Amino acid sequence: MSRYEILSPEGLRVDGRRWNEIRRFHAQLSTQPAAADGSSYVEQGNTKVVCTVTGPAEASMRSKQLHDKTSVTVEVTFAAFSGTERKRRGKNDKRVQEMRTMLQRTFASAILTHLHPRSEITISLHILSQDGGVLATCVNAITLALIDAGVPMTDYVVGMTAGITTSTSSEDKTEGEPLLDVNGIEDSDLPTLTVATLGATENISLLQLENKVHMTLVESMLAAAIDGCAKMKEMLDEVVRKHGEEVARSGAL
Amino acid sequence: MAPAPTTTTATSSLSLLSPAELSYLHTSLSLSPPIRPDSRKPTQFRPLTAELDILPSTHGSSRVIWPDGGECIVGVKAEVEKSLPDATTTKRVEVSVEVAGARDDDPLAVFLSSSVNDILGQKLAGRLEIGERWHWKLYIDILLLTPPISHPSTLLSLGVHLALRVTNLPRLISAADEDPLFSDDWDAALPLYPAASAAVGDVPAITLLVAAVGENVFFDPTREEMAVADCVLAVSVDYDGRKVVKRIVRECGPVGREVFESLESIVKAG
Repeated sequence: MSRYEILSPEGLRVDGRRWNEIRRFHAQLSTQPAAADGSSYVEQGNTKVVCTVTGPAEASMRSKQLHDKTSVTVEVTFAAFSGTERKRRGKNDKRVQEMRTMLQRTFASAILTHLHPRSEITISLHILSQDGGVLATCVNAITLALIDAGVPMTDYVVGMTAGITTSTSSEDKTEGEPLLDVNGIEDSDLPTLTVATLGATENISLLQLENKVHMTLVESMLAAAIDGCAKMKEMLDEVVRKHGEEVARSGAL
Repeated sequence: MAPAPTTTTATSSLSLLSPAELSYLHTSLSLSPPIRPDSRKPTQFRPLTAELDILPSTHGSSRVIWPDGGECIVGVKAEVEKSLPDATTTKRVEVSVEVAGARDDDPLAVFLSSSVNDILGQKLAGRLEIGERWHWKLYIDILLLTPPISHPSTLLSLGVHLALRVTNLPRLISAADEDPLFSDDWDAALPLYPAASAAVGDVPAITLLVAAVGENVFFDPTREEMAVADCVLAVSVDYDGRKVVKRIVRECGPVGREVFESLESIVKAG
């Protein structure tokens, strides 16, 4: 596969984790209070994403105004220095468009859009550093920013990635080991599945599979990712509660 | 050194002050000694926060947060390029500015990237040589995360200065006439601006916003002060205080002698 051993015989990955361990997680709420209604900053390992949310506000274009719902607009910017190679991505990059549409659909169903008809919620993402699992980190960042902005949602939308490594000992493509929360090396080598669930339930609101994988392996990847989402939800909840306590303590409530 | 394109986005859209307020501010700033709305001294800056080396995938990075909420992230990446025998050294540094929420060809973004490129100039290009046939190409990417309330020139130039100061380039291990080969050990990387150059003041130039009201000169003007100033200049200075480039950010009222007198005060104060 690659020069590194994705999964050593002892069960350790390139960065020393076991198959079901997630990377270092760090998140902050309300990082740009002056510029946006809600903002967040999420780090999953070395993948770093900044998110700002504005709204619900008057729709920027008449075409975006829906008579019975809020319309959700997502903008994604990859900073030129975010990857290993320096690369400027324009707004019409296909991958960027794909991410935007996926995130827009996911959150349009999670947000209680019937509460603010004819208005628009604008979500802006800036990806500062890419090291695998970018889409999942974006989902988590958006969730936190929406919570910070006070936008009503049915539940946390939690994102997680899972990869699958087919063991090199056998040529059997139907046997594989799932790896939770892939990093950059694993993301470029292995087929990966990005899943977003509503809270700790098994209701999936976003699903993306990269690269080809045998049908029988999808179930184990899915199971691993959904488990990971449940773990991530607890961590997001902790961040929100801690932030809430700080706000209360500082007398804002 | 042509005047900058009208930066209407930064200055005119926010002067929501009544004529009485403008007059009050102007009078208070023209006094001797002047009284600034936040009672700072004329040469006093507002406190800012800076973080260094925040991006693992870059050669150098910085994040500067301005007291009014403006935030700027700068990432520096370098690539090896072959030197053409007769080419000039001007394209060794490429600067790009992205303002969150604005188009790619937003006039403010274009103005800022060209002004940063101007002030870095030849001195930086001289540090990027690898032997005779190769050189480093430096990409400085600036992300302005929050839309600027006051003019972002200072914010950007401080961010770029800090990012360049912590930039490390891989150490060369090949001989001078071979194709360049670098050490894989990142700990062996050499800083772009070694400690010795800081001692003699050979560091990137920075841009300061200076506002002049009557005979008084103010550094780090707030947007209210910029709204009433007779003239606001973005002055780029290097360590020795020599002015590298001047750009006029906003100018109204009598130019003439007052500007020259203000410049003299700048040279003495800066």
